[in-house]
Amino acid sequence: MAAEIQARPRGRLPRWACRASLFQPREPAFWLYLLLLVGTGLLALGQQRSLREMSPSGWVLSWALLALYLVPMVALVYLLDAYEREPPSLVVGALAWGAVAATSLAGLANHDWGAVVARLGGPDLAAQWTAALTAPLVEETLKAVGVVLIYLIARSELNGLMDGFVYGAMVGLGFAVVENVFYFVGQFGGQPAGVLGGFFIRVLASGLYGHVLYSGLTGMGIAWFVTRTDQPRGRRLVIAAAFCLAAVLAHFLWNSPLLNLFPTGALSPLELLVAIPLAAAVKGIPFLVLVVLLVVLARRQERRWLEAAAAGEVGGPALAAEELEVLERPARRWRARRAMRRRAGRRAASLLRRLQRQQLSLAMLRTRLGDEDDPDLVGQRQRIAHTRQALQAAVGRAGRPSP
Amino acid sequence: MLLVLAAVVLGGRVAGSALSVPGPPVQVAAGVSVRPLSGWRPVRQGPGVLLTRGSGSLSVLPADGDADPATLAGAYVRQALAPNAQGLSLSQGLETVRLDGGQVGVRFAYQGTFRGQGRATPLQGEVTAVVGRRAGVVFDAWAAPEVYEYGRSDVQAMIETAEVA
Repeated sequence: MAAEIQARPRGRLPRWACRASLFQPREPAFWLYLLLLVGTGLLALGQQRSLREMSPSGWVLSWALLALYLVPMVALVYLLDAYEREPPSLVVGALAWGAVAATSLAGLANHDWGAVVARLGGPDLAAQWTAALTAPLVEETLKAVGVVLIYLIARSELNGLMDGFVYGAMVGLGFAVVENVFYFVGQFGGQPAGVLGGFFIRVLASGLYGHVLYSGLTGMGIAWFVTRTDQPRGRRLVIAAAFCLAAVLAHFLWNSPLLNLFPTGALSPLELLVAIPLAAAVKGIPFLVLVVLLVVLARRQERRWLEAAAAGEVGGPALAAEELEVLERPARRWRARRAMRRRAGRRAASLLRRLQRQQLSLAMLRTRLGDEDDPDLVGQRQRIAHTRQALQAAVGRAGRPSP
Repeated sequence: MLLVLAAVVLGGRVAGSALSVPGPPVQVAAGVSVRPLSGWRPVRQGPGVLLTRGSGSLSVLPADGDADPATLAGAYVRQALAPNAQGLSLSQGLETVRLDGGQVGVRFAYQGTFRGQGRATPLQGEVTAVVGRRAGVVFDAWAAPEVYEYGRSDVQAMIETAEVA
């Protein structure tokens, strides 16, 4: 018990092990989400149709190339959440909001706000500054609305900064992919050479710096506001606003002529291959470092939560202290399974994977079940005991000499 | 949240409309006047008026009121654009436009390199030819290609509110 108190981090533990889905017909937010997604979906389909008509081959090539970016990025963001991965339906819902609703609404709003900048400052100022003055506020707000809707649909799933980052980054990823299709076909000419050039500039050279990071940070701000209920409301608001403002400022810097070292004159292909990634890095790397740092801190916070949640089980039949040390780090879990596969085969490694998941679930169940003898906890301990027995048997069989 | 969405998505349109209040009319010729939006400076140039804002320009030229708009547009290409441009390219077909006063006209876009003030400058533009009951007018708006898009909504608003008798 003393160990539990010592390990307990400041603030309340999140209520893990709640598996909500996107489909919540009793939540008004679900219907609002659906209405906006369907309404803007018609706009988005129309836009994709006209892009396809402009250049059928360029459109297909754009989507094919962006699939190569989308799949690993989804996996990377999804797997960053080391202990309680978000429900797939909510992740897909976040991605769809960014790809469909946020992009369609941003297309309308950016155009109108661009006209406001042109009216106030004239066409020359607008040509230089519209993208910086309108898109960051418009697009970050529209993407943030997606994260807020996901939270309102499934409140129990937004437990900490890491969850906010995952949902925000997924919204940003969906946005980035659809926006890039528009750029590849509409701005880079739509021919295969133009699409490949666009892919190099917007994905290979600068794909790490854009919407995924901005809305990941916004998502963290929203998560801070809704989860840190141990803090005064005003403080939560200020910190959440600071996260969102940082995202807007990073987007502003990226779109503005400030620190713009992108080459404009006639350069050789080799020079472009070097100059464009360097120019992108100057604008993007400081912000990337900031977000990576925040993600590391968020993961550390989740590890402390795990330690605190599992403390009451450590030393018992369900969880040994050395097992908790392995559970805390995804890389150690992976190494342990690899070692098990070498030692006792694929079946034993698969059982170890199951055991680790069940132990994580046990810790998460403890965050929402106060009674030590709650039937859910007892049942989970029994499941762990069965898996452990099966694992020991698999290891024993592997160690026995062949007849 | 709906308020935030509405402010972001519709706020630009509302603010844009509030800012596009036309100024007092500038007489171009008999029966033709144009109302510059704030920031646009009118200068009399030959028989017409040139409105400028930064590097964006809108030339308003009175024309023969007997011709139809398409003929007027074609004549403008032959007499004003083609002789001064290199690599002139025109948009396909003519778009029909309607002014607030009900007059109907045609519009096309162009791009090319134009000679002027001793140097060749790449420009993008749009010509709108409108004929009223007594007067005709050609609106030619242009700017550098990277700037043109940002002056376009102002230009179109000034054309829509122009009076062509």
